[in-house]
Amino acid sequence: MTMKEAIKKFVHNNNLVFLGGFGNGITFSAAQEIIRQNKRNLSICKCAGGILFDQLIGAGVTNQIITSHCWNGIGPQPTWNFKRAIEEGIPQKIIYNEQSLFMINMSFFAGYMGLPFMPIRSIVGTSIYDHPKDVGVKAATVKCPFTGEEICVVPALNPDVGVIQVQRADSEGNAQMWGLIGDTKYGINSCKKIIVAAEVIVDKKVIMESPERTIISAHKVNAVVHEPWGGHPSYMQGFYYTDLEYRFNYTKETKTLEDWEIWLEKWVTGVDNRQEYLKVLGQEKIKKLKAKSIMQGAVDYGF
Amino acid sequence: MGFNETKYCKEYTGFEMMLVSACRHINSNDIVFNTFHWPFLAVHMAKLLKYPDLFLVLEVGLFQNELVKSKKMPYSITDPVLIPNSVFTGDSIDALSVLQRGEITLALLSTSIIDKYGNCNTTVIGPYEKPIYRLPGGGGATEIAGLSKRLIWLLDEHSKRRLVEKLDFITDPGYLDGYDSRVKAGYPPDTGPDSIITPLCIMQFDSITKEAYLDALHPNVTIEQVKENTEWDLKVAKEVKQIEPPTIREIEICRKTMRDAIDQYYVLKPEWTIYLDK
Repeated sequence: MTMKEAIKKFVHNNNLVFLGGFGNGITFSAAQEIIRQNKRNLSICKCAGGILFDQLIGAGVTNQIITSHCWNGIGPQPTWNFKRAIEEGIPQKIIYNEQSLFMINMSFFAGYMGLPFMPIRSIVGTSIYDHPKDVGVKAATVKCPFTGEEICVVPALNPDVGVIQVQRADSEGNAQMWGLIGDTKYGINSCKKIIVAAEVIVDKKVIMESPERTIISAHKVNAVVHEPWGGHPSYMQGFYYTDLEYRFNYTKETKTLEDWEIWLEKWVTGVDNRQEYLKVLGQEKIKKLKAKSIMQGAVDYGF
Repeated sequence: MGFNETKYCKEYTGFEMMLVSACRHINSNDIVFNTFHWPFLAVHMAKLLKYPDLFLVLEVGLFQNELVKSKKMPYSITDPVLIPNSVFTGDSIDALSVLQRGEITLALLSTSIIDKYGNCNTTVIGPYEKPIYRLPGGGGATEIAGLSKRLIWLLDEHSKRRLVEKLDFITDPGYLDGYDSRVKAGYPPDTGPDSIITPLCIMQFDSITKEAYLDALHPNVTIEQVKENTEWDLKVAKEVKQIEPPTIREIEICRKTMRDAIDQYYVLKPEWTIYLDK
């Protein structure tokens, strides 16, 4: 399936959408296809939003973000669409469902485990515990029946649909990721519909050579997309490095609404798919970002 | 004062002094939670200066205790260069678990706005519903501040808008409303802020009221200067300590680290870097 077909089939207006990748394999290709298809009123969740969320906010795709952080990590520098939306309601007002990094991770973990909530020893006493007021109960305190201790609990998140960008998958959807996982494994497994985008599609035999690298198995994957460089400008361990220059310049290039519209046209709405995006990026940059191979870690699985 | 020896550096910025002071707070046996972005520099300095095998935990779920074998400094906590230089990689739940089990003995965090009880705000300036200025949100600092045994806050600017009486929003817990309110809220009694390090001074927290007071001055700074630039009525230790100036060696490593950071797109204010080219 192509990214275009997968997003069309599985991402619908008003959905709660999980977007994978914490540093490693951020789902930029999927997010930009969501923008091109002009989806509306999505709630989007991810442990740290960064410039990915900034683009979805600027394009008017989302009216609620569930995250712990939204900024450009390179610099660090502000994300202007995010600030325009919250400070001025441009292009629309959005709700920021305030999370802490580990709180949202525990909500995904509860969703992953098929449990209604998970305890966590933080956020009590902070304003995150009960802000914003219009998203219902975000956290509560319960008494441990075994020790009598009071402990904070956070609810499960079970997004309608999720997308991940991984190093490799087989055609059935068994997906492998290595390097930093962040919230990707628990996040994607907590979703009801699942799109796996992979740098390479491999034979199932390759997956079975190191099954501990699989973060989601095919039994619950709905679509497999072969999407090389789908994580640019983030990195994919073993494939390509972060485009620091592009990410650094993003803040400067999207500072005003006019700047942002030019940026959006150049990189998202003016191209039809990731292959065309890569043409805009150019061969020279692609060559520069390509990872230098470090093969390591062969082990003996004998018995 | 006895700090006239030739081993000391004569010219340096307040930002450099803040990093040097932070670096001096790190002990060889600490289990350190290393965070973006100024702590990243202070910890890097500690590795180069004294403890190359310092044990570090990162919020992405990565543990390392060796210097990264690369000429470049990692651009952030998610830099892929960290992976083949680590002893453990997992996911964020692994990092949270280390915190919740009470294993982190030292965490350094940089923040923008702090109150007298060591609570921080990285969410919003002005009323929450109608913000004047929206900030990014806390990321993992909420848990790191909540669950580390010794917590050191770094502020790169010492001013009344940064050190305030009361916050608009508590993103990261310090001692909440002071006294025993942090423990009552449910945080382990052996956790909480230890110090606030700014370009001007080091503050510590009163053992009863949990209010921050001036404990030690950076060189050539006066008590009045610190009080004038702090919004609350800052209490002062009976005997305010004088902090040793940075040594030539410390500043050498500090500036190398700052140069490496700039190469990796860290934005440093021009007034912090005036001595870098010398």
